[in-house]
Amino acid sequence: MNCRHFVPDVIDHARGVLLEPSRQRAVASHLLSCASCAALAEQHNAISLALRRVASDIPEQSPDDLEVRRVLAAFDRRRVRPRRMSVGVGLSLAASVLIVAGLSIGWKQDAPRSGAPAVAATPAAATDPSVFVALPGASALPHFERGEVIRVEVPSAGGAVQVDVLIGQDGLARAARLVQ
Amino acid sequence: MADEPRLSDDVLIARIGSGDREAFAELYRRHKSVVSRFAAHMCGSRATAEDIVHEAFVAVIESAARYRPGRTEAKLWLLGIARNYVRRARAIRRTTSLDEEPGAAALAVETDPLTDLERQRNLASLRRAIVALPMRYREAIVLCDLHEFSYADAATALGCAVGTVRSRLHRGRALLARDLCIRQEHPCPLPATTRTIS
Repeated sequence: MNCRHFVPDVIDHARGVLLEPSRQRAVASHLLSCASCAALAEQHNAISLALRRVASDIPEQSPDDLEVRRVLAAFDRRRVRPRRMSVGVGLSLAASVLIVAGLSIGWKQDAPRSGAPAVAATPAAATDPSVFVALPGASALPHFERGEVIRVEVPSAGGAVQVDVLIGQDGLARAARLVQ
Repeated sequence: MADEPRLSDDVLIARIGSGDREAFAELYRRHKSVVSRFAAHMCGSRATAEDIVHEAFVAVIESAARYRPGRTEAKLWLLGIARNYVRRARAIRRTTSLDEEPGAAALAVETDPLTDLERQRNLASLRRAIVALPMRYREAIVLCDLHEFSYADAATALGCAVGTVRSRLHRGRALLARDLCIRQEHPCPLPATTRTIS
């Protein structure tokens, strides 16, 4: 068996890696009879020692309170960002849904009803413009108990159209309706 | 969370996915050090390493929901994320050496100034040689030699086969030995050897 066969195990042996007993014996025996591999083992021993010094140069250190506070501030900023994005996506979806709804069922100039907003499950069901139309995917969102209606302007071919968007307490857009 | 028994990393990550900031703080306290040491050894700069740690943990906030418990150890998953930021940092920044940073000299513990200087020189040569290695070899050396990870754990963090890690480590060490002896800036810290493969 030649040295090439032994080199990987010689390096692992020098690094202190536990080899299988039979391989360990074979390496130990080879090192006794091969000056070249013995020198290689010596070199890798020296590399291991030197690398241990480099490793200990940067000790393990738990973060202090200031570091934790800083990373928590980043956490808080990140947790807010998806909500903003959801509202943005929701507004885009609202515009799309309402334009399709308006084209498919026609726009009636009825007076808006008062009271709690009703939400139609599909655009086709929204024959009354005061009824909110559920946004695509809104049914998959968690149940919400309170929310707010925000009014936005959406650009369209005939000028800006005002849209009311129903936002749940979690910041996610649920439904929208056109405003006369 | 202080009253709860120590939660597993998997539970913490699941909680982070649902917005639990205390779980995030706890994961940071547990693993910041190992991620920071990995990044510092990879870049050769503590300042860059701190940026990488911050970016990696911020990435955790968004990746937590996609984490699959049991598939990999959380520490290795974090190192995998940090590794991506190390690669990006190397591409866009010039890193300053650990040797140039304040506090590096204060790490010495020798009392003899000459021994101390020699030790610092050898350490500096080694650090430079490690940072100069190609990324794939450096990663293997940092994880297996500096962090003393098993080949299997290093393979998980690097997303490659165990045999690949082993061969990269051996190749990296050979390059390291050659680099340290060829530079001749200082006396070679390694014993001289000639290799004759029969």
